[in-house]
Amino acid sequence: MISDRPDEALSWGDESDASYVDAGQDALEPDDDGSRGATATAIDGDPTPASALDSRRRTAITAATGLLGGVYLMYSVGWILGVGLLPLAGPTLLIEIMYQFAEFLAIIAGALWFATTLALTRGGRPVQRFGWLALGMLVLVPWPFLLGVLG
Amino acid sequence: MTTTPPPRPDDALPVAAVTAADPAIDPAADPAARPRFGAARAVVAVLLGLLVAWFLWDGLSSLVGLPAQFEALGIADRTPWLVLVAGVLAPPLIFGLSILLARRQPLAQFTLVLIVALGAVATTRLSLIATAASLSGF
Repeated sequence: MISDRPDEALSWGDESDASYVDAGQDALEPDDDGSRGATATAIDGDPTPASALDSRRRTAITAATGLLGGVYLMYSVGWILGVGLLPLAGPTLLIEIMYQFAEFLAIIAGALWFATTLALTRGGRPVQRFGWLALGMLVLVPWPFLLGVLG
Repeated sequence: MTTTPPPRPDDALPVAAVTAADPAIDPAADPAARPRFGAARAVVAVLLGLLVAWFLWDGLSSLVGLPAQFEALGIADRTPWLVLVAGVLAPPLIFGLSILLARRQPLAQFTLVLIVALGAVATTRLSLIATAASLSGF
């Protein structure tokens, strides 16, 4: 809709505007007859709305992802400390550079695995995300650090 | 004035039968509709594969060279054969699996997965070196 008024662009419009969205109308908020709240209520007389359960589930998934992120961060620290304990010495400059590169890769591998899993399982099932994160925790264990500490 | 054409015999078939038989409708039946591996993915796989090849070469050189060194030191019985063989098998296995898993992904995601696989190859290689050193008492 095009208006001739010069100050049209400076106003938010009103309810007659086709693009008007009522920001005050929350999805959780029941309609006047309470129908929306009634449909969101669980079947067996459980007063907890389904959207609240969904929100709690999302919070749990976020918390679990954060917890695993902490483990991956510890892995990165483990690798930073672990590469110093490795008996690596390249006989040539090229091999020495490649060993340094391998150490760099090992240090960033945890962060890379975590970020890639999050990026590729976005919108997917949580079990898929946690499955890949669990696999990464098995593959990326900083054995040089653990063996150095245990030894 | 136009007339409606008479229905073809195919129109009488159930939808499932038509979609299963007609490759134009069922993408899985049409090879051209499937995402192809493509030259770009091949270039990424080869470039990152070269780095993985170095890890394979390093594992092979350990498998060939270390037992001789252990024998010269008189500790041939402490040669960590399992770790040395794992050092050769792990790089192609991890990288090959990652290509297999990511082959249907868009190019950016495919590249990302292969870089992660390269990181996993590096951690595995360094872990095996540490394990070999620990097992042989160095």
